[in-house]
Amino acid sequence: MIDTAQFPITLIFPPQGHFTQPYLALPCISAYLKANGFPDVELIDASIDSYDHFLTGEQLERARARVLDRTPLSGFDAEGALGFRDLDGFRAAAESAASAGPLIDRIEEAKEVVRSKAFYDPDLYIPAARSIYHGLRLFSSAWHPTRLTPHNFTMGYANDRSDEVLAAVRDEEQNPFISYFREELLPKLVARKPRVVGMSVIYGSQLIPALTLGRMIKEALPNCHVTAGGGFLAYIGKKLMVAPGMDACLDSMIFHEGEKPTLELSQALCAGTSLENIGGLMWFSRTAEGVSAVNNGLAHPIRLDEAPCPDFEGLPMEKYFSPEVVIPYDINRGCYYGECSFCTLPTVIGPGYRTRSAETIVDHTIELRDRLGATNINYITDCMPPGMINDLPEELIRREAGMKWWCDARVEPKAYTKAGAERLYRSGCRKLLFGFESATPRILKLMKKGQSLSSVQEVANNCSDAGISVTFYAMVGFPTETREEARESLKFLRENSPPVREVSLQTFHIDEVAQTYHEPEKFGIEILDGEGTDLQLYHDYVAEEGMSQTEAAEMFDEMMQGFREFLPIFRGDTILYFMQKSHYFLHLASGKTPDEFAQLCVDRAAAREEGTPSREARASDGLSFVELSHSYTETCERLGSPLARAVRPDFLTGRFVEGALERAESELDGVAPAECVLAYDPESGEFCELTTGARAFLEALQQAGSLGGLLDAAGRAGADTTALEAFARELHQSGLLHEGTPHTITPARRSPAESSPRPEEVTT
Amino acid sequence: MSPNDPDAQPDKKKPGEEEVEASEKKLEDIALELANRKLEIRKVDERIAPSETNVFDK
Ligand code: SF4
Repeated sequence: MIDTAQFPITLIFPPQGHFTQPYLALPCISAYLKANGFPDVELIDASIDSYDHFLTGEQLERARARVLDRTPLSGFDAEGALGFRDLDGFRAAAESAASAGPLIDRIEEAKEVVRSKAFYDPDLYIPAARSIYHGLRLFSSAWHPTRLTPHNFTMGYANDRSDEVLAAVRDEEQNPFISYFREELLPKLVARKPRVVGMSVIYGSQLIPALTLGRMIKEALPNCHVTAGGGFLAYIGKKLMVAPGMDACLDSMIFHEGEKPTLELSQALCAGTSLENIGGLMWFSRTAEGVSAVNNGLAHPIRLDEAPCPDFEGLPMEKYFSPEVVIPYDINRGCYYGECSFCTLPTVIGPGYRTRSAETIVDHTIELRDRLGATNINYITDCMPPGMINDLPEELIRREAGMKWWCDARVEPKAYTKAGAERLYRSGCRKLLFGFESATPRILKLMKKGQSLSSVQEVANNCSDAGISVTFYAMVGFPTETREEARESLKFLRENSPPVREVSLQTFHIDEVAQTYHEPEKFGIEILDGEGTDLQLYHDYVAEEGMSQTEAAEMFDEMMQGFREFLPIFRGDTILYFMQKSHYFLHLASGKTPDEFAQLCVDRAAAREEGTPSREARASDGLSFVELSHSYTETCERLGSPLARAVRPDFLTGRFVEGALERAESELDGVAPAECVLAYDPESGEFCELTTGARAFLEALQQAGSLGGLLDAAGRAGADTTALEAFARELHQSGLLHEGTPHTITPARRSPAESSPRPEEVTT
Repeated sequence: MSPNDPDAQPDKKKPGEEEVEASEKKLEDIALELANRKLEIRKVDERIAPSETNVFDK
């Protein structure tokens, strides 16, 4: 028996998850282990660590060299049309050629902006956020067809086939995490020699990186037990554990909440006893006869109110791409309603519904505030129960917690009354996200949402009137939904904006645990099974009526286009605040009202769309140009079409749609040769396609120093300046003209201990 | 005078009047030519992928 104090445990959040704030599961498990006799627990967020590492000048330089080596622009036939298979590579090569230099120079500054007070200035934030996106595009180009974005990680391998997943885990050419783990993470683990490594796999995007890491740890540290759990594995874990070869990556898997199984696993390994009595564990039994997967069955859930306060110690708070850390904290587990026919929550969380008391929640909130110096919190709940909508704000106010917070919510008209909403606001609530889903009563009934449109409106209005920003989750393509019904939802949202400020729109997916899968006849659909897809969770289907899956994807685009017309945050480049988790919320938390923020978005978009450049307007000195044999814009448009998007593994399912590549190849035209120039402007972080004349205009503008200087020169030469002035307006609208001197910030990093922002010198 | 003395460095040349005139003339020629050239700019209407709207869960 080993002393538990001498038993090192490392808990790792594998790539890829959001980069704006930490995740909660591992801090919960860490606290639980420490409270139960295992003091030596290390937390690693390999997702933020790898984002931070890949987005450095040095790594982007490596990426540039790799693109030049693997997919150089010169490798594309300049004379003939580009076929569909070439488009993605061509875009990657073109963007890298234009943007690599400026991105390498500026990526550190971009990270600095999103981590500092400069974040709150859209003129600094938006180019910085774009640079981060483009930095990831450059990085991804180096590993083509692999793609790492702020929201996803996909490879040219399907997530629903274990042979492909295992091939991806070993593919040195396309899996960027192999070299990352080998160079950065593994040496630290080898030095520490943990006895247990536990990984939290919440999303499909983490599957390949987690198994990659698991395999490498098992090879480097044969005495270390590698286990994994989390939401995504709750769905496919059992299939994964019986897939051939998986024992090379893992020793066991944990189902549902991880606290108790991880503790019991550590105790058993420490004492050298059998694993067979540990609830919630599936493990590999290795005997002379071979390897077999043993499923111990489910564990009893813990008493949530007795669980300790999550312990974030060890997470690199200074690395998250936010100026202030937003702490996640779970107030309950499970959903008190639990009826919605598309919802698969019990599969992830486990059966039953448990909550902490308002007193415990506020105790922990204050503890986290004091320990981490944080003033913002993201209450994790699948929907706030009605009683808590009352009790939690009261307790927060009574204890003067001084926190700003946001969370998910269900439409409960009896709780979100005018007085209820005002109390929520006073307690620090600044944003609530409601499951609206659809404006068609027929669809709502099929979904068993249990809410009426009038109650949706009433709740949204009460919250908005109190100063709380309202976000709706909406769904398109629910079985039998017609285009007209989807347009009804769009119309409803248009008429209710405000109070609605943001919409998180999703296309409907069928997974194996939802009611829609088990009773397809009730929803008028026929489920299709894939071939050889041994990890399949999501299924294609044929609908007897309503939109097909492709039509739903088209309707998604139509609805997003609509949102851009009437939701101020979505209208222009301020949509980037919506796209990074908690970034819009941080503006609200810092004192902006939803109306003020909406006005800022409207003014910014109008200045761009309608404004005219002044005589002082200039072109960036850092503009870079690359001559192309084919149109960049056309290439991107082809790749953006629903047919082309279907060729990439789906973001949620990680699946390849059967026949999608062939369909895209036959139905999408190639891109004909056409001379053009791709420009990258590092000050705005934007790509534009130009004619050679337009490039000459921008170079002349750089030489003249200002638009006025160039127009005067044209005037002196006797030219008619009307066309030049009109073109300058177009450049202004495209973000290629700048007013004033270039923005620079003085880098000032937050120290690890300092999670609240310090004033930065921002010079503009 | 030490070799590090700024005065010991060769003078940074300030453009003379002639050079200024020549560069102005060059700019005028370019501007005149530009007025007759095809000036076009195209931007990609970047579509938001579903994964990017699901920012709260993903
Ligand atoms: S209210 Fe939300 S969490 Fe609860 S069942 Fe419905 S969709 Fe799922």
